[in-house]
Amino acid sequence: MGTGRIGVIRTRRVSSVADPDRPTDPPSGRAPDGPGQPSQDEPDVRFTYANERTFLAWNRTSLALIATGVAATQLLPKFEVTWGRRLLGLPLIALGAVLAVTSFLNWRSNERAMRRGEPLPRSVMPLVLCAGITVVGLLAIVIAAVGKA
Amino acid sequence: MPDGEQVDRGRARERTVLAWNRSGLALVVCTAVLLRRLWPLRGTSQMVALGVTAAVVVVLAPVVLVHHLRRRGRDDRGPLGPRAMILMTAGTVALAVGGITLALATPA
Repeated sequence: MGTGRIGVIRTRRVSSVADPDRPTDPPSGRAPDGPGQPSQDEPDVRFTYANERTFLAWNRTSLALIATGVAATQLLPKFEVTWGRRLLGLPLIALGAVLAVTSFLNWRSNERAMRRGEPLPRSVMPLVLCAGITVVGLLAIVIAAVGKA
Repeated sequence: MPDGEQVDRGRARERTVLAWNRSGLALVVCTAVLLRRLWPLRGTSQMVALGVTAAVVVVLAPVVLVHHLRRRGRDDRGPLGPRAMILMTAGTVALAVGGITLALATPA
């Protein structure tokens, strides 16, 4: 279990959740195990749902970062330091955009790994999020300290 | 009477639908904050930010609605393909672009 391999539990898509309009054979020239590509032996649908929810949770985190960044640039009072509000808000908004793209790439690689029965790839997103928030926090301390000095 | 696996599968779907709802709400709130700060418009950059935000709403609202309806009741077609994720990601990035434009347009 420590390897993160979850593709060992695999079921065929049952008729109650299958899309009758979907073709059984993959389109020519595309990998049959890519995300959104139907294959004969698909991963358990619960894992796919869980992967989707993880993507959505990261996406909401991105939206929260963007909203916080906008609030920092628009609602905070002006600092003594020029560009103080932008120094705090813009990195948060940029971090939100980066996390949004990374969460999609992560969802896609997880989906591919599940279809191939491979271990799930490690995600760098928690590290990026922690580092980003730490940097913005330190920036806030520096701006507040310089403003008081 | 459905067996255990069927019940669990149904709940997984329900949790996912709720997650989509929460994401839709977060998107609405984020868009509303941006629009609130954009109005009244001052200059070209704010009009660009408003256009980006409006495009996000116009594109993403039908997507979320269609997927919600698609998963309602017994008309379940299983997990979504990558198109919905790409649109959600594109919408979030577009909101970030709108936020950055607004931040740069506001006096420091």
